[in-house]
Amino acid sequence: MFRDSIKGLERIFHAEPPSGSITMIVGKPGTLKSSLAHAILSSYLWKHKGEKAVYITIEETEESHIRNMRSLGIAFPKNQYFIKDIASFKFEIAPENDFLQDDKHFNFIMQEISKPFGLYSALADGDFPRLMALDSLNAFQNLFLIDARRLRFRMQDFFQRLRHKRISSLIIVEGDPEEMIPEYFMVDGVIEVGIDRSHPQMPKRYIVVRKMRGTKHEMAPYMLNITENGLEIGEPLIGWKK
Amino acid sequence: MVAKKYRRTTIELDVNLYKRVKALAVEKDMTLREIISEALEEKLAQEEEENDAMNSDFLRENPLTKKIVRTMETFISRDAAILLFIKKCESRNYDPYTITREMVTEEFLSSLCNGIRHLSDVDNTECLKALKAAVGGF
Repeated sequence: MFRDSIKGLERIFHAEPPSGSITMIVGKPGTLKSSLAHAILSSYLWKHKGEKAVYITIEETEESHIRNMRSLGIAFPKNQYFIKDIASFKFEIAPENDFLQDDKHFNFIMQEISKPFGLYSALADGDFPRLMALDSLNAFQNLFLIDARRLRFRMQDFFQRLRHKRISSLIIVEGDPEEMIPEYFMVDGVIEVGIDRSHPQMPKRYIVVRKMRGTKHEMAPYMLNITENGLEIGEPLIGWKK
Repeated sequence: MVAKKYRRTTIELDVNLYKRVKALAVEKDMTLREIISEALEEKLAQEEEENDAMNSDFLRENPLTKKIVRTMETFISRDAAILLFIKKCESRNYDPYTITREMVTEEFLSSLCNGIRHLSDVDNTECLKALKAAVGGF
């Protein structure tokens, strides 16, 4: 999914992670986490007509995603890419309460992640998507009203189910990549995105692979550029310190 | 009469099971496809009954509700379908146990499709068509 997606990513990934890998995209607000996930999935799909992907958004609406991606020149291939808008669905069924935090009401999200596309849909055939993005892990976890220990078990179960279904997943995490969270150890890969402000007049967006099990990859950060054709990987970032 | 559509598939059966099914097919003068289809239909119906029992009593007690929710399930997950149906009933002061055909208006079905479209790529026209068919049309 990575090497054959956005331009330049093949320079960072020397091989393709095994199918069913779970990769986190971690970064602070405004670092293009969602855009990167959309860009990777959509550009991969444009080149692989038989593949399908689902993007699950829990807090931001589909409309907002589409508007933002359009502004970045990222287009979604019709009949291959579908955004499941949990944010709007939640509002549709319960605009004023938080009953989804009850575990028994929560299961539908797990079911939705693994459900084949509808029988009547344009995607048809009951095909399972083999690619998935979840936006975001923070929003997903906020749906649980349980202590940290139980949450950790829940997350292990969640990742295990994704692997079992061999769904290659991108999980967006909002936060400081330097702050360790237990989930970093549960997933196969961690990609950090950020803004290098070493030169305040010229801040630069970057992407760096922190971890990728079973896959040779570059350790150095690369520039993440917004171009007319969407996102592209630029040159290695010189003088970057962490 | 609308012709049934079939999809070709390949399954591997235990040799003895195959022989027994084949013998049954000959005995009942049915094709292998008919025997297997019948068995799968029964299995699905049984699973659905068990799921209904676990999930919501109203699915067992109100056939109309069951038809609607089952159709919704072709587009979205079971739990999402049940949640959406209950919430749309609540907003109209309908009781899912006693909702009748007269209460199920096109506007009610449209409101279900409006919720479904957030989780499924089915378009509203197809969704409404399927739900209308499930309740016997208007």
